[in-house]
Amino acid sequence: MPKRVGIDWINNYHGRANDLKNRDNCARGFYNTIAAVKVYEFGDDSAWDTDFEQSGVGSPSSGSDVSYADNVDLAYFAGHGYLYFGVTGHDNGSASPSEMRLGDHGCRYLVCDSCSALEGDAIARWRNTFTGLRAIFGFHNEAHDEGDRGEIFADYLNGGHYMDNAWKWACQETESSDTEWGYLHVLAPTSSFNDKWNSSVTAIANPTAFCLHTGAC
Amino acid sequence: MPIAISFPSKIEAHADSAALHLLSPRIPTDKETVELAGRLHMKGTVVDEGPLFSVRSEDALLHHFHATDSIRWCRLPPRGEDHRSVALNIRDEAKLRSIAEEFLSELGLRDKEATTVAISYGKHDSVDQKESRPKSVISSAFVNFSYVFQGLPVAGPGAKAQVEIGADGKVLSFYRFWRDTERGSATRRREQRPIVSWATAQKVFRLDPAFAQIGEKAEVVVERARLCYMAMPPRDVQRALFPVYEVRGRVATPQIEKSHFRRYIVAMDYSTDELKKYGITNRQFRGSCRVL
Repeated sequence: MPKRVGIDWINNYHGRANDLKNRDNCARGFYNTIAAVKVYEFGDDSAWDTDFEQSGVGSPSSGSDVSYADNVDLAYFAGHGYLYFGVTGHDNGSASPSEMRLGDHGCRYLVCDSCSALEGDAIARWRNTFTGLRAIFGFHNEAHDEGDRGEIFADYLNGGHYMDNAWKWACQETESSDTEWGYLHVLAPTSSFNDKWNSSVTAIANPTAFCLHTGAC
Repeated sequence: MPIAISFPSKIEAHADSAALHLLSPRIPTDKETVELAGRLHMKGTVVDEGPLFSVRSEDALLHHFHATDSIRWCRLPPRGEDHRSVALNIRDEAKLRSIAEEFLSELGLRDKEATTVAISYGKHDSVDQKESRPKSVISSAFVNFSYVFQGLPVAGPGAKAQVEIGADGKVLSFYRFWRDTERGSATRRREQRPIVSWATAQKVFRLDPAFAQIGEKAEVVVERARLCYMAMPPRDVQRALFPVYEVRGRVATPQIEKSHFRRYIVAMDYSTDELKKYGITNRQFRGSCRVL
């Protein structure tokens, strides 16, 4: 079964935060390099928090992940973190972990190419998001607006490396050593620690244990 | 109304003039990669993967970057459910530092420009359904090196090294991202030029369109600023080491409590021809330099 990917990127925050310059380059670098079917690309005002949120969960409770983030194997977000968006008219402009349930349809991996999505007690914050999801790749502290990370990550994934190594290496090549990469994965009943992009995997519907790895870029 | 930006009263490193240091990029040959693999006790075939040569042996992987001669090496231990559950049993930072320095020196990769800056730790938090708090294990130490060139720090992902140390002092991985400034050309050219003042750099920073929309209720705080050389990522050819102001800080708006930024402001005046010649047209520098 071919893998499917989708990207959301935001440079223009309409004053909600400082604008960014390279989120499009970063996400598109991934999109145009990864060996997968390209399902969707939403940028700036087309990127909505509801793309990642489960309908009926959270407040406001609008969500359409089933059509977007949960309809692909890997969803890549590039913007301010955790997942802040430039427009608020569709929900509230922020996809918080408590509003996200990923994997009950198709999503196996989430990339938060943004600040601090895996800071602090990330396991407690994200565990309910895992409804089939196998891992989240992100940062343990502040990351920066680098344009090449997505392409490098995809390059290593295509090369058949373990996914955690691919993320760690992409972060090393694009950040200073005071930035910390993070990788949160399911440990039980099935561990996703050994996942590779080209391996065939299934949803882990009811995870019972998680592991968060962090380290200096 | 212009937005209010607060700047630190002092910057961390400064100079009135600095050298624009022209580099001679050279692409390492596969023979050099073989020799490097030999130093790491690796046997394997050199594979050209585009931006780098790789060598994979039974228990290790080497990456040798074409554009910069940078290196990354890591052990490939058998992977169980999670091999990093073994705790780091050396926490003496002087000892960790010395393991890292010795390791790089023995390989001939201890650059004279590199200094150890910080030791950070790799962590592994795990939790199962019955537990409310994660079980935390320090699994490795990262000894991080930064680079100082001609008296100024070098910023950017192309100037750093790191040795990762695991249980019993075993080196698990290392990388050394650096463009050798001495190698490759006998006639290295250096051009001493005046540095754009910090006051002028602040004016350039204020014009950054990234802050144009945030409104007067926003708070922009520059927390750190320093004059440094800029080293591009290890996959990029770079034709000159040039000075920049590295400016880091945070923005708070009524909608988003905190977001961070890092900007590089080119710290010398160049002609448009020079910007192109030296590769300062990179998107990283859009809107951050003055043209003569």
